[in-house]
Amino acid sequence: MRTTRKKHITFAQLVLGLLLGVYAFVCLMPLVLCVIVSFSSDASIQSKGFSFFPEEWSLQAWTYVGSFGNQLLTSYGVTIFITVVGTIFGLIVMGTFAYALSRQQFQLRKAFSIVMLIPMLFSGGMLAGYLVNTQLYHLKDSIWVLILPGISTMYIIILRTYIQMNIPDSLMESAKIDGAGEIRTFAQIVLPTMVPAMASVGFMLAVGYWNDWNRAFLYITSASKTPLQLLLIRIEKNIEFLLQEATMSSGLDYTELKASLPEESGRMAIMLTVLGPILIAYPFFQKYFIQGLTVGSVKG
Amino acid sequence: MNLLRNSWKNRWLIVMSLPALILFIMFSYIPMFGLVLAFKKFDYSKGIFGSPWCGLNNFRLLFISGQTFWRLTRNTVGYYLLFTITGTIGNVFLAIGIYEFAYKKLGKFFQSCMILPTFITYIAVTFIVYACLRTDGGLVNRLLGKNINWYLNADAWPVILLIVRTWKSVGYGSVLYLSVLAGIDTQLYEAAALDGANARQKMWHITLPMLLPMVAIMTLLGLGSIMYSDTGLFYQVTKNVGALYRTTQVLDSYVLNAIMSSTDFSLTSAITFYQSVVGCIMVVGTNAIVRKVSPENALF
Repeated sequence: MRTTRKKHITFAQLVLGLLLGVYAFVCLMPLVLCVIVSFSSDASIQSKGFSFFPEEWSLQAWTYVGSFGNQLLTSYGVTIFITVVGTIFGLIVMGTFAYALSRQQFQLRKAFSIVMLIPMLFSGGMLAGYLVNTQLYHLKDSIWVLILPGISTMYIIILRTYIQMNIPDSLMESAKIDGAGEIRTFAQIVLPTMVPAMASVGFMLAVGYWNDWNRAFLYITSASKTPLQLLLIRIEKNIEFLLQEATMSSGLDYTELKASLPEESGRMAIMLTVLGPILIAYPFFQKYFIQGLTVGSVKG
Repeated sequence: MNLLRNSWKNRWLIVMSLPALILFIMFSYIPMFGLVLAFKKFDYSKGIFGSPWCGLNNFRLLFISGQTFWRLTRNTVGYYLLFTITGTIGNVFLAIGIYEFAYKKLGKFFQSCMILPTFITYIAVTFIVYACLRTDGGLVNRLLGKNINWYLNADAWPVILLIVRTWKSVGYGSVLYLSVLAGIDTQLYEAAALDGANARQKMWHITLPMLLPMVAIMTLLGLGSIMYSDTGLFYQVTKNVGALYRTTQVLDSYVLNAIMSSTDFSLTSAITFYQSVVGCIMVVGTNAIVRKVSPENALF
């Protein structure tokens, strides 16, 4: 049946294809709108509103993104820093922990698993977390508060399951007999084998760090530590946030800049520069997400 | 004694576990103790653990507040049910649609378009929703030819949030079901075809029954997060507009709002306590059911 379908287009296939195509199109539309708005002149937005067919095209918004790029560059730096450091740090911490949990002869692993599982059942909630982080650890406005709490039970389970299913215990035992310590066994035998699982978890971690706004929103106050998502929140309320930074550092005239600012298209242009890397990298990392999802559904 | 000797023998595994354990203790366990705040009169200068006890006074406030408490609970649980039901139906339909579509390459491309919104943060979504809904020049108002101020129109928001949430998550949500479908033995379909089953009968008697276990498990596991919501959707996309609280404010966005505006934490601490305890009961309860139905999918 499946083979006959491919030979000629049946009516049912045509309808199905149309439905899927329309839904796929609907999924992309909002992004297309943003791109068009960012290339519309502010005057045409004022008169005609947001539209897929603006009266007048303009590059004004994008030249603005270039001209007060200082804060944008800083925020890019902050986001890249927390994404890279957070992902590497997370993979090391969770990878070594998953390895320890996978070792059959390690008696404490049961207790350690329980320590890892309880946070899935019970959490202190947002308020207690906030007060502990700010008052006990003094992490208010610290970049480390964006990196450190990124550890997740789910990812550890994925990694542990992968090790258990793909690396026989006997292999690790024989490495030990050959005189390799645990760390060396992990680094030289286990780590190379778990590259696919690490890649999946790594991509999920990286996108999580790149897109995380919640922690930055709660903790970060100074402009120099503002990651991209928080920058978006700030300019969503008030695009002049960018101007203040630009005029302070370059000596440009604030009122003059403000008068000629393309507010609506400027916002969209900045939003697109923030989304950009994710949109460009998306076709490449998509498969790791699908892998992670399906590996994650298998429990060890 | 045995355990001690085993632990000493595996001391390097303990060393490798330490970073993860420390992070769990710092960011998961200590905040759990922070929940005692619900029984205290919070004094900022004294911190969580130094503040004086006040018995059940905070809970008295919670029940006096009646309105707030019931509204938050109703919205949280209501949206959870709405999203779970529509999400599951959407995921299953989409998965079947993509699976049945004979042109696999085109289907893959459509699927990529549908998954893309998952990677766009709710912060960026806020910009898009605003472009669609703003009073003057918003896309929806222009299409309707009206001048509705959507950000004051609370009754419309359950539908708006449902559309946004469906757009953002159904594509990715269907991936899991698609992987189940891909695992169905095609011989089943061939045997059914030999027995004279038509397309609808095959769908009804093979495809849907094969998906059912996964639907049941995902629904049950999801119940554990019934008290938690995505603040990106409920706090950011609604722009935290007070006029919309009636239909959009959930427990999590109430707490986030309380932290950001540093209001009195008495009521908030009682709310987070209620949220954590009910959440924990739900996780443990649903896990007990999952363990009965399908042990390999239970969390613990």
